[in-house]
Amino acid sequence: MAKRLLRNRNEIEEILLRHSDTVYKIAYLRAGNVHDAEDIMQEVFLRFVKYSPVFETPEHEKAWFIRTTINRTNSFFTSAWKRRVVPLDETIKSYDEMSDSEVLDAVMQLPKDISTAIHLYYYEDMTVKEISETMNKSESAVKSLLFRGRKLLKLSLEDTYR
Amino acid sequence: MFDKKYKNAMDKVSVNEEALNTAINNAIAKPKSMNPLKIALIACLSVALICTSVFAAFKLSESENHPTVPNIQDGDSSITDVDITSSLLQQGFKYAESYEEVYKAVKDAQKYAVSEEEAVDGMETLVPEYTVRPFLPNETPSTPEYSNTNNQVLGVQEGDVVKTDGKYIYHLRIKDYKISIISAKDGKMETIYEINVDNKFSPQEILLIEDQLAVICTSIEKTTRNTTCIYYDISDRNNPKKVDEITQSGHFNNCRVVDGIVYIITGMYIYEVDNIKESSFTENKVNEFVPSINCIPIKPTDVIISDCYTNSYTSFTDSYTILSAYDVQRKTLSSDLAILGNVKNIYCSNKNIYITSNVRNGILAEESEESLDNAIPSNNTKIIKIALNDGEIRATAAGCVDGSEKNQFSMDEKDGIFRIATTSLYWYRGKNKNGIPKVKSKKVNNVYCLNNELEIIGKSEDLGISEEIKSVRFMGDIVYVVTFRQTDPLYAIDLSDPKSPKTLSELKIDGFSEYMQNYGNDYMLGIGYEADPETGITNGLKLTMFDITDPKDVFDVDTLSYMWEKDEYVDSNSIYNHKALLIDAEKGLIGLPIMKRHIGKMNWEYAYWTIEYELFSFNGENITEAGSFSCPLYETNVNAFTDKTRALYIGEYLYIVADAAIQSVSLIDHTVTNQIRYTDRLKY
Repeated sequence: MAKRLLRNRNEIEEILLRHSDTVYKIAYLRAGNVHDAEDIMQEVFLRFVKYSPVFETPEHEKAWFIRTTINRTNSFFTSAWKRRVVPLDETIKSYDEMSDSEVLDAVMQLPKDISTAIHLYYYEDMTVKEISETMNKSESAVKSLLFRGRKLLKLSLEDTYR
Repeated sequence: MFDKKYKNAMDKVSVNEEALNTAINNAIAKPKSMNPLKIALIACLSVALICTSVFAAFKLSESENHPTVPNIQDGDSSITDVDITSSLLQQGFKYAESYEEVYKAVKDAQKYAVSEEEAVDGMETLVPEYTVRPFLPNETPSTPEYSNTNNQVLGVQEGDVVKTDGKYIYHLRIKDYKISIISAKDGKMETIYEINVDNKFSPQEILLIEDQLAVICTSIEKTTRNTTCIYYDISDRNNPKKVDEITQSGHFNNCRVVDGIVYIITGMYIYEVDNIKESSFTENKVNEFVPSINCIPIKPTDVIISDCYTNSYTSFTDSYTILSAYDVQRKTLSSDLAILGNVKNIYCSNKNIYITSNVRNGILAEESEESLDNAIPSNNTKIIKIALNDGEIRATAAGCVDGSEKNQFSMDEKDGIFRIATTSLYWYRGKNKNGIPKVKSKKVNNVYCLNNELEIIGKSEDLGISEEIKSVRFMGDIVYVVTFRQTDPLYAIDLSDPKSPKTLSELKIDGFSEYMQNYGNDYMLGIGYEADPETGITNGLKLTMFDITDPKDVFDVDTLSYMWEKDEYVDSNSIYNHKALLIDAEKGLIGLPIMKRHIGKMNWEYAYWTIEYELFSFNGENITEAGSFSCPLYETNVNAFTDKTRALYIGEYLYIVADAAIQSVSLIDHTVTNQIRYTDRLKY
């Protein structure tokens, strides 16, 4: 049986606020729209309160929230799927010419696991090992996702390395 | 820079304050029921708590509570719909809901497929074949009076060119477009009937299900390939009647029969699909991007689409895999499904079919230790598990492992755990000894254990580094893996605890086995090639008998070799096809067709091949040749890969079924007692 922790309202609120931004961004990335992202965030918060998990380190805590958000967005697959079918522009500009929001649009059009791996790598600054633990995939599966993402986004070698 | 722009854009994505506060309040304020234990605990606390989450049911198996602990399933066979959907989704698969969805998935797949010019130069095709045979140590089948097709799994019939029920022999003569029904009693044979196959069909295999005979054929119509299964009622052997014909899109991959249901797997390449306006999904238009069965397109709710676009030149989503289930007794198609993804191999147990597909990444790493450590394998394998459900097939799980498997024998299912052995290939840019750039590869071998939802729960990676798997054999809890580069380590790996495979022993001998099968409980026969230990170049065909009574100490008891002299090669179809091997420890029989190349006696004579069916016996110490029977051929430019020579036994007679004739041989004194020649245009 999983351990649970009794937390008071202030503690809960503090933890939720700490991770709300992370959760919302991933939810938005995977669901593709504000409304679904808010619903998913609500779902994640409810699950946190329901299961009240014990965390050993701050990293565990953050990973739990990310992992739960990913799992919750799987049940929103239908609406995300339909949205993702907008075709990528054939004449994709180089990243120098794209605006920031065009870059984000391009990432959001990728298959969900790929865009999530890209987000965790470039935005959350996670290592491949951390991403593999969070997404419950092998390290080579994660590398494969990142590689495919870079290829699909047509990133040059300079863009690839931070 | 990409990451700066992405970061800037994502920084601006933030939740609306009001929505956030509402969400937090909803979560905290949601009423919970209190468990008596908790009530007591709370009562002890001095601070009044507003709400705590307490549930009456303490069941919890959600993986998100332990982000770094793998979620290990206990092989529980009842999976909920949520688990199924989640497992499929994790690999990018989903059942479609309309033709519009299927159409969009196919168009997207074609958009992402990369043309051959963009493919990486210098990539070899992966070597295809090696074999494994699962073994149920406590379930040796009782000695039948006649031999069965050398099926991988007990109770799961595979197709072949010859079948028998102990009274009749059914021989599919591919070149003659006929199926001969021959009565066989005490070595005497008589052709009772010859079923003619329309020559628009190219017959492949037959299946025997009690009094029904099924013939699987392929045909081509313009550019479309179809596979047709024709069913004959043969209750009256003198007068077989055709009772049904099921045609499904695609070229034939494999078939199985489990509990009277015939499962046929085909693969259909999708040619470029025109643009179709959303409102006009008529049947004609749908046929362009959806496979069909008997001309009716598969329902969209039976199509599994995927978003697994790859950018390698053999795109995963360039084909469909189609699976049909036909109830022979009821003479109806029970169910069918199509998966947007190509099929490489299948493994069928009594409960499930596993379909594998190799996904290739066209990446070259640089040759430096660091980059190789971080390299992605150039190939991984997607697996979809389809529950048979007595003919009501449904996809229940999907998974992915590194590397690629060679054939059906690399896979096995035991107590709900799916085991698979693969070779991972890493391509990198290196230099040869003269400093000239060259594409090089590194190989690594793995064994994975996957649970009911096809999640990896145990693995053994990095076996035989820089070697390649040549054969695998699952026998209960032990898997024997042969890897080879110059010599052949045969590994015995213990999978009794699927979470932690343990290598028990490693036997190094010259040459390697391409196929292994148990001979009784104590021995394992390996058929393969001899090789020069310095260079690794093959120089002979060999049979090796291994003693496997103690997996910690496997050793080779004896080897019988046919060494090649100059260009006089010796080969056997049993290396490529397990059905060509006749093996029965209780009857003391080992038999396989041996193909020999002979150089003409005079300089101007071309080389020619002969096939002899060889019997061997093993007395616990030595493998010896027990008998040799020449097989009549139509022509001599045969090759071991396509050869269809088989043998079966009924009672005390061996029936050798060759291309052009079938002969019966007494197992007591090895005399040829009867022969039926199919044609007079024999050469040899």
